[in-house]
Amino acid sequence: MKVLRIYFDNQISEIENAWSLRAYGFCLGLLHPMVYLLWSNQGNQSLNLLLRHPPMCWPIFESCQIFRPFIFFASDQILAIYLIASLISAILFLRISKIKFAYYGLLTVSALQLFIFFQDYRLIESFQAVEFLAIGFFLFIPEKVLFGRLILVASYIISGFDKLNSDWLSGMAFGQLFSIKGKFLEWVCALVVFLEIGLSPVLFFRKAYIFWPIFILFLIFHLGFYSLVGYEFTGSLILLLSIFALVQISPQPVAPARSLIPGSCLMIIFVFAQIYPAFINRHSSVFGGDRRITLDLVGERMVCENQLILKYTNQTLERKIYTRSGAYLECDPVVYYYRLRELCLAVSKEEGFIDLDFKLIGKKIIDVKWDTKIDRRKVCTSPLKLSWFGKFKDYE
Amino acid sequence: MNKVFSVFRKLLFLIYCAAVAGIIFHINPRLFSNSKSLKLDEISSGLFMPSFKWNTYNSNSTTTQDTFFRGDIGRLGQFKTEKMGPWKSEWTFPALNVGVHSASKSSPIVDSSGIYVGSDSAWFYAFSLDGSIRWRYHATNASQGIHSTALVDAKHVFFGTYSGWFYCFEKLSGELIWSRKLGDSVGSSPLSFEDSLLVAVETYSPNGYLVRIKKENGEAVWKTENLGEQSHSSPAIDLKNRQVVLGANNSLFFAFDLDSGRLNWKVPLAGRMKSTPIVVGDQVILTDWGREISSLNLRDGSVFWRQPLDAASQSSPAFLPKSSLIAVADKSASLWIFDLQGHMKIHVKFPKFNMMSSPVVLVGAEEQILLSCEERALCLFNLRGEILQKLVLDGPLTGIPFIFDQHIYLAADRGSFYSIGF
Repeated sequence: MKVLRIYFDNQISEIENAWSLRAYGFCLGLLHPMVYLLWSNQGNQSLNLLLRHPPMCWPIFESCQIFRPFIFFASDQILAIYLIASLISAILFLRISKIKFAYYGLLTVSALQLFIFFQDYRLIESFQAVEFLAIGFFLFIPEKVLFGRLILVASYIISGFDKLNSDWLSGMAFGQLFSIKGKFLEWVCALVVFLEIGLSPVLFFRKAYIFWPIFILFLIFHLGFYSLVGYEFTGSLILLLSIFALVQISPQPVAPARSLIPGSCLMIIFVFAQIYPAFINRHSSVFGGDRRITLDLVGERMVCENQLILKYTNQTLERKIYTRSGAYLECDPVVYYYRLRELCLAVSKEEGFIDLDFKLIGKKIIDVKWDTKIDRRKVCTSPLKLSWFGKFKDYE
Repeated sequence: MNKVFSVFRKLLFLIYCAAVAGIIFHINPRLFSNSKSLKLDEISSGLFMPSFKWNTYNSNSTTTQDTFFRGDIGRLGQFKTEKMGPWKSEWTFPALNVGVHSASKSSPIVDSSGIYVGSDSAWFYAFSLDGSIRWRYHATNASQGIHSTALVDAKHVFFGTYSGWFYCFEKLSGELIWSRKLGDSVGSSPLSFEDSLLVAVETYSPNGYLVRIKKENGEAVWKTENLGEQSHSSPAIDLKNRQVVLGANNSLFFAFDLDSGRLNWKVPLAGRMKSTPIVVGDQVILTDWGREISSLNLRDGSVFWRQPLDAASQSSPAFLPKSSLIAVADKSASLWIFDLQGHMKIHVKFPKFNMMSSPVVLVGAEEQILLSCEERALCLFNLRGEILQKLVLDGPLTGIPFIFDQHIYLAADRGSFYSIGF
């Protein structure tokens, strides 16, 4: 217990001793109101709306319905507490005497966010891995100035590599989402990749005449993609980006040397987690469970089609499971798993029902060939099983 | 030493940036060329649409046994039959079509295994000849149902729906073999040739094409250029010139090479073409909404003859082989008979109704014509235009009847399916 207290005290004192970290803590605190906006509006990430539907649990937490009655009846109040607590913790970071409260406030609010987040798998669309990593590194890892920036630059580079494909570079990942088209769009896409992979290390440069133009380019990049990713994500990324500006404008305090080992180990794990799926599955970011540990930004755009064949005595009904086209979850096996389970429950009592067969196919939007991702016969009599990573057991 | 190290670091960074730029240009070399950007339409339409394979296709089916809309690849609209006795309604299946919209309904296809017919409620039925349902299939997302007339071979049945999906079933069991999306809707009727099918497909934009697909899996062999408008017209084959002909809603008539799908010629018509053309010798004979019946030279599309009708026509002509005459109807409820030189021989006017069905010719000892003579009645005519028999229906006839084994089978719009013995 004492060790733990010392550990947390060290984290707090590191933040107390650096103006840039206190200001960055304020910015990180403001990330939560962004999430609040997503969960409280009437869009597809509305918590109220999702709670009204049958639960779609995370494969690692299949009994998510146990908390749902409580959350359902108090969802507005929970969200209000979440917002107020996050704003208070953010503001407390601006007062050097209250950093301890701010720190534990941010920790508690982030835990609450995680708790709500695990109540429904569909909330994955509001999950930004970079935010979680940034907050996690800020709260728990020594040498926050270094690793806070390193994790962001690494995320940019990985996100850039994710976009090194013809989907992105041809502009086709966007479909009709952008008003710019043709050659101009292709150049914009190429510049984004160059910015992320090539120029993101420049954010570490101390020379102002190099740093600030590139920093402004990143701001323009995020603001330019506002229409695609929404104001919540744009706002979040700008808040995260603030660490580079804060470090640039504030002198670094002379601080006792802290261990680089925890941060380095986590960085290695993070980079490995991004790289390994590429070796085992071409579409890892979309199909299968590997996406759970990748950043999975908008580098590839997938399209999926599915067909359900419901067999009855003397008649067959073809149906389709509808997901939002172009959405993050369009091709996610977890979504199909839950929909099929619900459907089996509903139709198995119907007169003459025998069973149902299901197929899911998908491709990168630019590909010509469709891959079969799920091909299951007799879904209702031999129920599907999901692994923790969201893969269909005995199939994928 | 520090300066050297700093220069080295900068050099290394420049090399890194150059490598990133090089990879980007390698993946998308079009950035510096004048070649056009890839268009989503090129990928998402026609040849690269999704498909599902469910069961094994039995490749022992031969085209000689194929049965489809208007009888043969020239779409002549003929049935060989003995002389017709008095009609007797043997059984009906109520409310096959519910009238979701005004397009002509699917016509039945019948062989010894049973009756196959689509409905505008998106159900596809396989009846036994005694009227019991053997199997039925409900196509999803086809709010306007099935208007395409099925094609049946020795083992399978094929049809398209208004959702743009095309299906192949094992005809006895009703097992789905494969399904493939061909476009945004399929309202016309397929035609088989060798081991493939020809299907006119509608798309929203750019609009419509003809596609040749393999019977075994629906894979496209070729796709024509865009027709420019929806095509409700079903294709016909001109074997002599190895080409396939059809019309479209933009008042154009097309001939495409049967082996490559390349455009051979296209000619303007007086109006939209909704009907199916017929191929007779060197002529293709067709009707349109511009109140005309036309005969075109199959070699180049030049006009042999054109004759005015009383109204727009979406009725497909039928060929009377013994008398070398053409029977056709128009929307003002007229039956016309022309010879192959375009001379009008008979013109019979019925009490006015919106005539949407097409004549079919019964070829026996003498030739007779089946056609609706009132909005809700089917009539049998002789070549003098006299009504020999009449059957009152519970809905308008917008498809065509099918004759098999001394029976007439037909599906009424907003009405029943009929089996009539004679």
